[in-house]
Amino acid sequence: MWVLLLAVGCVRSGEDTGAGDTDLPAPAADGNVPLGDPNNFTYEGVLDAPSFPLAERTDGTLDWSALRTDLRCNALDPVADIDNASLLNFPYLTEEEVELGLSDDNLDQADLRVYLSHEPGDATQVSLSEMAFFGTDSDIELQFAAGTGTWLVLLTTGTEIAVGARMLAFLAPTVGETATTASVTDGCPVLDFSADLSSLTHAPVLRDGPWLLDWSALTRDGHGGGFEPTRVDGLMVARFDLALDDLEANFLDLEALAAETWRYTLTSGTHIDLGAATGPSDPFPGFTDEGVWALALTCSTCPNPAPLFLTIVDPA
Amino acid sequence: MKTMLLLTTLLLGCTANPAASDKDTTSGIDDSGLADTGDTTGDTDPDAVPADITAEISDYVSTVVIVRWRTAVPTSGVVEFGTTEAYGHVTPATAEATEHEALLLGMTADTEVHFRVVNDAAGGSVASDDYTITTESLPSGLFPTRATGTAESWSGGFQVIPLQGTTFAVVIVDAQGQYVWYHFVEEVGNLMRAFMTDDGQYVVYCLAGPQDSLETGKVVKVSLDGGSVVETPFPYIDHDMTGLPDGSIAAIVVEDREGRSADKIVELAPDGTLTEIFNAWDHWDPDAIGIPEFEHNWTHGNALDYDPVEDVYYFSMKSVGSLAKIDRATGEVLWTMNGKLNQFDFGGAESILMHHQFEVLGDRLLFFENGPVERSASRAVEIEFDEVALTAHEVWSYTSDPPLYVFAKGDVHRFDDGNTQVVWSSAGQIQNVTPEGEVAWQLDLDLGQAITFVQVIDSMYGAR
Repeated sequence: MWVLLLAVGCVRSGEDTGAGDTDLPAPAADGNVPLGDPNNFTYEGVLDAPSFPLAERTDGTLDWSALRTDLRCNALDPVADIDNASLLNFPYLTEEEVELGLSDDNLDQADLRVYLSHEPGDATQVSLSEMAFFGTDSDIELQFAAGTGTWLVLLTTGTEIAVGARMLAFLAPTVGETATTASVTDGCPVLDFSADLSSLTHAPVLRDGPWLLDWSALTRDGHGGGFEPTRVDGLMVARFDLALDDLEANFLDLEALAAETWRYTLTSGTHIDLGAATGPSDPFPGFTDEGVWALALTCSTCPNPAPLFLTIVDPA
Repeated sequence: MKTMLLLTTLLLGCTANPAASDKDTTSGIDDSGLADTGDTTGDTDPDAVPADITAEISDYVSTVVIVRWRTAVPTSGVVEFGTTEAYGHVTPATAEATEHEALLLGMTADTEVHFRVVNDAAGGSVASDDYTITTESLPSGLFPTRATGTAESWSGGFQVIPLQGTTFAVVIVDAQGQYVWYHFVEEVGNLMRAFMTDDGQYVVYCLAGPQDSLETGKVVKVSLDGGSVVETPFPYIDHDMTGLPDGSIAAIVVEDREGRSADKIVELAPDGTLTEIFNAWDHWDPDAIGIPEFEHNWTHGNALDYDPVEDVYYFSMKSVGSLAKIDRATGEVLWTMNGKLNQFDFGGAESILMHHQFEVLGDRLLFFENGPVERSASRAVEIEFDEVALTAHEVWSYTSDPPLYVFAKGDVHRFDDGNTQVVWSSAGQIQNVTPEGEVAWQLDLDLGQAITFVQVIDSMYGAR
């Protein structure tokens, strides 16, 4: 569950912030679109990953051959969709603290004692001893012992550390336990999240441009953490033919739900001319009165799949 | 070309000078506003006056400023620069010429930089007025570091850090842990070591190929303005390299024999010649020294350093757990310490267990000791040793609180003030600790970001 903590502090500018508000400030004639904290969505969640007691000091096995749904309850192909299996050991954190740290994006590398990974190819299981640290083998039979903290396994699409998670689980080395295989089967119950797109202040924009977006004033990301501009590497503007309630309920699948999407790859900075975004028609042709338009700043290398910033824009 | 934010000079006399550059983002000034420095003596030579001064941000590194100027006669000059008009930094002197270029290095992103050009002149020196330019934002993908402690509590100047993980890059950070230089590494491989060359012209890094294709290893040389990137194949390079005074690079190189592998030391000369200096296969037998079969690379060299005074290499090997001192001219092993090849008497105490980087400090050795898995606590250890009597004993150590276990990499460095830098590589943390074990300064990285080996440099202009 990704819990909605900051929603309390968010105040919208109008009486009603549903799509199509008419009492919002008019967009600036020069096209400047300043984006700040009141424009940002809020998002929270709670992870509750399964925990598998396994024999300690043994080369255990993780098996995902029966995994058919991922964290977002989307269908998953255990062969085609899993590019990397990784094993992370947090010596001083409990399973609950790891779940909270992942949800809030506030874990340090120093929280981690061991990071091992393996690219399984077409396999749907991996033994812990197959995992390595960038090519350096690990004596996992010695390390995987009771009392060594929390052991997290991540199955990801893509091979970047802790990015693209499709499933996660804990392996608990346990004295006296004889099981040596952990079989993950269903990612659906692991993540419970909520997103609030209704309480944010809409951003007024000119229907036909120009659109000079400026997010230099942002201080908080949608997860409640400090906003760091260098985490942003993508911009997305999309039209949805859905109500805000539906978007909130399916928040982590926004990209799939969009009727039209334009994107821009950011290399630096906190400003962009939206006209540079590319999509079904290039350049971005402008906003329409149809549907709900959203603007998001994304981070492709962050563990949390939610965007850092997302707002609803009101064309005028 | 990135936007140049040039010369918001105080001089009313400044005018654009398109002739100074063919870049539309570059402007220049005439010399009407030049002012003598305070230490100018006598009449300055008007031909030495810096003219057509331009400045721009590097296309490749948003924190690097490139200043260019002309003089009517060949002369030498420097640029004084800093975040205020008090400057505080100065570039190396340019060669005697009429066209001059200098890089302003060590500045952070989004920072207003003051600078002035100072030329040698008959009777003293002559300086331009003060100008400013603002560095640009950091690129996406350089996640913020978290430094605790003040700039004063950091004992060194800058740190050259290879980042491995979510971001693959070589970066240089200052005393506040702020990025002042960066270069992204796009290729797949293991980014092990980076260092600034002695002349301050380049940052060099080695990229070992993936374990199943070590033959793709290479050494990459990047100019400080980021504009020149030269790759040199260095097949089977692995784990570490070090620079030699003549510009050669010595590296650990893997060689397969009889279904197993071991390491050798190979030098890459500036002309591209590869020369084998030492080969572990010629000195030890893995079966005789008891290396189990599952250790495919039975030496697993993991750190290399060169001492130009004695012309020797120091070579750390993980699988045998030993450090070897090797004569560069003959390849002879002069002694081995710790682990299976230990020749030293530690007075009944345990020798150093599973080390990575080290530093030779006269009759002392500073190790990063990964330590055994069972102990689950790595540490920095200093020993005093006598290489004639072959005796050694521990004189200092530091363990983090709570203990950190680093099973891959790890680095140490002793500062002039007696403090020690401890690089907890896989933990993404760097500490500067006092002799009493107090943490004076610390740098942390986000989850997903590890460090390999770190070079401490006093200056961005090449002092190692």
